[in-house]
Order: sequence, then structure tokens, then C-alpha cells
Amino acid sequence: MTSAHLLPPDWMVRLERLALGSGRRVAGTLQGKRRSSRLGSSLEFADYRSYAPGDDIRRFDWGVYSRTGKPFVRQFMDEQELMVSLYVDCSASMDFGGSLSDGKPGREAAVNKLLFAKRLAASIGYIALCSYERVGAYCYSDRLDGRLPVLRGRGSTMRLFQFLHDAPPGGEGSLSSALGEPGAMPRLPGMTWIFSDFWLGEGESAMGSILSRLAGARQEVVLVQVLSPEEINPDLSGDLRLVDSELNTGKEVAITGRVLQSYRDELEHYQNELRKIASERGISFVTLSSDMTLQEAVFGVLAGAGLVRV
Amino acid sequence: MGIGSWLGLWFGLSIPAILAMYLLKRKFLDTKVPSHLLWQRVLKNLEANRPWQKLQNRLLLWLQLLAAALLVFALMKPYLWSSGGGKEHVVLVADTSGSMSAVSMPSGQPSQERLEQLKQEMKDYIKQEAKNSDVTLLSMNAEPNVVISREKDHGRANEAIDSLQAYFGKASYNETLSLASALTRDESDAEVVVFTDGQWKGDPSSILFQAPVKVVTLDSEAGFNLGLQQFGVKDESSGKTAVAVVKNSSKAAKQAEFNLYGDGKLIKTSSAEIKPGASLTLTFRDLPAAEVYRAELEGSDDYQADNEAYAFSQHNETPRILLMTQGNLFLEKGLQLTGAEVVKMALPQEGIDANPGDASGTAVPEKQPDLIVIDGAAPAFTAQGEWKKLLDRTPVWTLGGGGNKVNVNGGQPRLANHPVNRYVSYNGVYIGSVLDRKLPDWATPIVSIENHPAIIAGTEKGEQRLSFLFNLQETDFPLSSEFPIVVHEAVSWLTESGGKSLGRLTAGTRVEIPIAADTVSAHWVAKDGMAREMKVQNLEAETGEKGINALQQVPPVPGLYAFEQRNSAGKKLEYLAESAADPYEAQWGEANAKLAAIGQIAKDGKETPATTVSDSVPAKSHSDERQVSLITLLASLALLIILVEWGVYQRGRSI
Repeated sequence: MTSAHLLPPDWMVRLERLALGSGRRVAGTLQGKRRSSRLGSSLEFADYRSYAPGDDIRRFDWGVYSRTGKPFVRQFMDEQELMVSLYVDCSASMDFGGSLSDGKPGREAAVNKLLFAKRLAASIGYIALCSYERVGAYCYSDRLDGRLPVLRGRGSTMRLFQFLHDAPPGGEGSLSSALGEPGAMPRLPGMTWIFSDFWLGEGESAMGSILSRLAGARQEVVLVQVLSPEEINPDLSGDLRLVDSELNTGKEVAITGRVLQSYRDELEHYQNELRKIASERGISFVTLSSDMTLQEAVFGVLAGAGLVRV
Repeated sequence: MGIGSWLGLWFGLSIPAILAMYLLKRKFLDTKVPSHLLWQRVLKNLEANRPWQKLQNRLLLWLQLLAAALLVFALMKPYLWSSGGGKEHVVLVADTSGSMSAVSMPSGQPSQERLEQLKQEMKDYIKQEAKNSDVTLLSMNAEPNVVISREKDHGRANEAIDSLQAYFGKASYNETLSLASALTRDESDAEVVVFTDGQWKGDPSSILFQAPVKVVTLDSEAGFNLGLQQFGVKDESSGKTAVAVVKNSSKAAKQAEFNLYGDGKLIKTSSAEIKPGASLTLTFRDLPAAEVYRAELEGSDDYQADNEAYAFSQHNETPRILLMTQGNLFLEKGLQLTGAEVVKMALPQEGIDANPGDASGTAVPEKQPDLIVIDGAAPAFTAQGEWKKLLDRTPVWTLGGGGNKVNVNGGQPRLANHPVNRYVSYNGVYIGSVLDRKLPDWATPIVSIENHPAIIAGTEKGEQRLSFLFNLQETDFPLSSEFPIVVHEAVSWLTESGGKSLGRLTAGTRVEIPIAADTVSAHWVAKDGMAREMKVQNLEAETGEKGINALQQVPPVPGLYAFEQRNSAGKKLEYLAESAADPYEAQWGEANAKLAAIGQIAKDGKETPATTVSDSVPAKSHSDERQVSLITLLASLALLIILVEWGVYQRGRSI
């Protein structure tokens, strides 16, 4: 598969119509399509205000002045670009399920979690580039394995795809140590997407501190948990020695229906815990299964959560 | 240590089976998962919440626990009640009284000793009715006899039954029943089975049972029996006369052939027809002298034990002593004090007897004395003719006599160990001189003064000899208090030889027998009659803490016995006794009607007042049931479970 096939062309066409649903008005340095928190020079009318000496004469509303005799100037919305940072978890635990060589996204088989995450990242990145946003991409395991300089415009699509495609699966994953590296945090305020399974050895508390740091960097964070169907609903039986893909340590478990049930309970509990941590900080959290199609993922889950707007 | 059943070894095969399973046990399969994160939490929660979590849903564990539980249960020897078997405990009471030795004819079968028939019946009963029961076997002797107690091994029970022998003495009929009753008193599942020929003395129905009682009466026809009821010999002036009473206890007239033996030699025979149920008295006069007379009914009848009887010629209870003396009041009185019948033969004073060769004038006594005492010099006529013969076969005690003397001047006598010296010390006795004689071959000094023998004793040609080598007149010995004792001991030592009869005694009774003080061993020896025919071994005398008991039990098999006592020197002293069967056993008649009643009481449930009051054991309703052991079943189940476990191991799954 080449980088061009990370996303099928017909899918890219559909993505062009979408925009990222960032709930925040951001102030950028460059003109973009995104409405800024400030008033500016866009075509969108915002408000009237009294004229003050020094205001741009071109904004003076003569029609109002003729009717009321009072000087008003019209104000317009400012439109600016959004900084979108994409973090893809490339740890060993992500390289799980299905096979990487699966060319077509479809329901036939669950694809590899990492591939699914890359496709999602590519989709989000493509939407952002099409919306004249600035896009930065990172892949990490326990450190930042690779970073893509900030891209702008549709012409950078291939570079993004290439970067994502080439990102190799790494070893142990640790979001906190990866983001602790210098320059790992996005410098500009914007939107940060993290695609991961969030199997964090350090647990939920570490997650909380990372999110706080990201919030401190004025990021609007979206957590996308990508899980394989085997993880959501394990189909295991017998006396098994469960080997951790990252640590290579074994754990002997006699799998019973009861154990499976308590695994599902534990998974739900864990997701609720993450969701709680996220919502406390006004952060979005979505869970996706790697057996979903991209359409279901983007138009179903992400659009349903208001993260992507049609 | 012993092993009850080697069959159990088969279950040992489970040990290699378990080993094999562990060798072949599947390991945990390696399965790769993205992360342990959740699994760790799952397990931690499971383990933290429920410590016994690991025990749950483990089929293997449950199977092994089940197998172990089964094995433990099997070790508890469980059983089920199942109908159609025997009781848990069966007490067999065997009537082994003398009448069981009779030969009888079970209908349609050749004649067989009743005891054998009884043994067969008992074995059949154990085989058929008491397959899984513990067997207790009681037989009757003078006292109830527990042959085996709660024996599980029926092989041994059969051996015990085979070892039963008829007991001819007074059998303890009701005592045995009473013991059986006591043995089953507190048991809820026991029964008593009485095997008898119906000849039962006493009232068996007076004994109360809590367990059911069965009476098995041998199916036999009474044959004919002639029995010697009485036999005796008495001394009369005309000679010895024997009287025998013969009884016919059968229902037909019988010809009795009667033989009389004296010391083993046939003396008289007689033949007479006896009417049924009648007795006949036979008298025989002018019998030659004999020690033991034996009366015998010739020919075979069905009960052998009463076909012989013995009588002993009457010994003089008091020994007859012939005292030859020139006059010695002390000695005469001393001899009379022993209770002996003393015949004094006055000898002429020395020197007066001018005619030493005149033996014809002095006749030999008509009756042989038991002891001849010669005080002083022996008269000349005793050295020849009839007198010499008489002296040779009679114990003789000589005192003093003529000859050279040695002065010992009242030295202290030294005593050897001898019965005559038993109770004396010769302390303060003055003996001036002793005769200096060459000692005869038989003599052993038993008292000596300054190395000169003063009293010698011994046995010449089987007769006792005792000589005092001093004249009583020359000592103050007769004045001492020990003199009558010495005389008594001397007389009893000199006359003790020869048998004494204890008479006719019922077998198994206890009789007092004088035991000599120096006896070291004693036993009953079968001499004649049935005991001899049955080759009864020598029976050791009963001993107590103080040596041999004076009260001895007469041997149980009828016949002539000698109670032989031996002292350390090997000298034998024997008493003859006839052991006779209990006369009741010979009286064949109708079976004891009350015998059937003992079973009835228990069956009707009429319990004794004592039981109703004490209200002890509620009768269980398992009367017709027996216990079936579950051990085999349980062991098979355990084995099956182990096999199932094998299947589980094969699958390698816990559930």
C-alpha cells in the first residue's frame, strides 16, 4: 500500500465537505476560514457600535446615520486558521488485530488498530487541510518517534499521508513521557487529537495530568480511543498465559465466563473513568472499534459527538 | 500386622494413573494480548474480592475433591440395609453336652455322630443365613465357653466350629444361654441361634432375650442305649462282691453283654435281657483281689460314654501297723496317735528267747500289715521263711538293736533334707550313743551326729526302710515334744507308697486331691477306658500362686485317670480316679419342650419387665435385613471420577 492509498480517493472527496467542530474561537496570526474570537475583516456581520474617532471610515454605516443621526460603525467577524495537532500512538499495543496489508476499509475483517488510527488521523488531517487549517502530526510511543512540521493547504496532503503511513510501530507506549519531551507540546493554541488505545501503565491519574498540561497549552483536546473487537469482547477460553505485547510478561488466567464478564465490566469502568477525567476538563472522549468502517467512525461517532461538522 | 483383603490392591492402580495425568497435564497456552492493564485489574479484583475465587469453576478440583470424599467415605465402611441377609452379629450357641457324642441316624442318612451333624448345621447356617455377619460361637463346658467372639472371617469361624468337642461333665446349659443373652443385650441387630439335640437340662425359657432367638433342633432319631448306672465293689467277709446296675433307656428290650475285669483281666461275664426303660442289677461274688475293677457293656450302642465303669478295691483308710517290741509305751502311743491300727507283737526279753530257730511258733499275720515296726533287735524268725517274704514286701521301721556303739555324747544332730525330718529339729535331744553299723546299700543317713549316722532311710526293692540307729530307751528323745511328730511323719512316709483312689467322679467337677508338699509337677494321665481310646493327652494340673492347686478339675473325657504327682527327685505319687459322664446325658427321652419357648418370647415381642422399665434400646425394624457394604461401589465411583479427570486433563480446560 502506498501512502496515497491510506485513504481511498472517494472517501477524500466526501471529507472535503466537512469541517472540524472546534467549540472554541481561536486567534491565529494568519487568515483562515475559522472564525476567530476577535472581530475582524470577514464578510460575516457581527454587530454595530458607536463610532469613535480613528475608526476606519469604510466601516461607517451611512444608512443608519441618515435614519438616526447617530454615527455607527459595522463590525465583522474575524476569520482565522486553527492549529490542529494529530498525535498517533504507535506503541506495540496499537499494532494489534487484523493485518496491516488490508487495503480496503470494510467490514470484512477488523483492521489493524494502528492502521485504523492512522486512517482516522489522515481523515481528520485532510479535513483540516481542506479547511485551510494548520496541521501538525506526531507519532509517539514512550517518546516522540516522529513529528511532521506544520502543514498548510491541500497541497500538503500527500506529505501528511506519507508521514502517517511511514510511522512505524514502536515499543512501550507512554503518553506522559512522550509529551514531556521538549517541543512535543503544540506551541500555538488549537485543537489536539490523540489517537490511542489508552492502555497506560501509569493509569488514569497520569492521564489527568497530561490533559491538564494540554489544557494549559490552550489546546482543545479530543481523545479517540481505538480498540480492536478482541479487546472489547475477548473471545478467549481455557487456561491461558496472557502475554503483554509491550512488556512481554505473562499472566496465567483460567478464563471462565465469569472472568470474561468481569473483564467487560472492568473495560466499561476504565472507559467511564477516562470519560470522567476528560469531561471534568471539557475534553471530548470517543471510543471507536477497529472493525468500524471510516464512514461509521467519522460520520457516525465523530460527527455525532459534534467533533466534525458537515 | 495383617492385610484383610488383597483385593484392595487393585485400587493402587489409581496411583500411576494420577501420576500419568500430571505428566501429561497441558500447560497454559501463550496468548498475546495488547496489554495486561485490564486483565491485571480483573484478576486483582477477582482475587481481592473472593479469596476462594480460584476454587470456583475448577472442574478438576471438584472432581478431585469428590474422589477424595468418596475415598474417605469408603474408609468409613458405609453399608446399606438390604433385606434377605443375616444379622450384623450372630451368636451361635452349640450344645456340646455329652449326649452330642451319641451316634444318631438323621432320617434317610447313614448314622453320624450328632456333634458332626451339629457342626454341619452350624456351617450351613453361617453360609446361608449369616453371610456378612460377625459370628460369636459359644459352647458348653462346666462353664460357658466363648470359642470365638465377633469373628468376621468365616473361615476362622468354621475352624472354630470344627474344634468343638463333646463335654461329658455337667454342661452349663442355662448359663451359656444366659451369656448369649448378655452378649446381645445392648445390640440392636443381633440374633441368637441355639443348635441342640433337644436334650436340655433345666428351664431355658426362664432366660430372657432381647434379640431374636432361633432354636435349631437336630433331626435325629434316638437309637438304643444301655448304660451302666452304678458299679461298686465291696469287701465282705466272704470276699469281694461287685454290684452293677444296667439301665436300658431305649424303647425296645435289649440283650446286655456284661464283662467284669480286675486289673485288666477278665473275671466274669454275664448276659441278660433288659426291658425297655428298666434297670437290672448284676451281682458278682467271690472276686479275686484286684486294684481296679472295670465293668464293661459289650457291643456297640449309640452312646459310648456310659458303657464302662470302674471300682477301686477299698484300701484301709487307717494303715495297719505291726509293732514288734519288748515294750515301749512311748512308741506305742506315738504310733496310735497317727490314727493307725497298731497290732502289738510282744517279743520276749533278750536272753529269754532260748530258741532262736523257732520260727514256726510265730505265724505270719493273716492280713498283710502296711508297716512293720521293729523296736530293738529283730527277732530271729524274721530272717527266714514267710516272715522274710513279708518283710521284703512291707515297709519296715527298725529302732535300735544290738551291736557296737559309738559315743556321741549328746552332740547336736545334723539333719538331711527328708520327709521324715520335715517338722523336727532335734533341739535339746540328748543321744548318748549310736550304733556303729555298716550301712546297708539302700541307706542314706538323714540324721547324723558328729559324722555318725543316727537315722538312715531308703528304699529296698520298692519298699520304704527307716532305721533309728539308737535305742529309744537310751535317749530322752521320746520325752521331747517332737517325738510324736517324728513318729507321724515316719509312718506317713513309710505307708505312703501305693495308689490311692479318688473314686468315681463326674467329669469336669472339681475334686480335692492331697498334694504332697514336695510335688513339683502333676498331671492327669489317661489310663483306661474311653479316655485311652480317644488318646487323651496328659492334662497338666491347674496351678495357682502357691503352686499346684489342691482343687483339681476332673478331665472331661470319661475313663480311668491317674493324677500323677512327681517331686524333684522324680518320685511318683498317683491317685486313681474315674471320670464319669454326667448321668443326665444318658437319659434319652423327649426333647425339652421349653426349649422352643425361648424363641417365642423374643418373637412375640413380650419384653421383660426390666426392659420395659429401662426402655433401653428401641427395637429396630431391621430384623429381616442385612448390611451390604458400599465400599466396592464407592471405590469404583472414585476410579470412574479419576477417569473423568483424565478427560478433563485431555481437554486442558478448567471448565
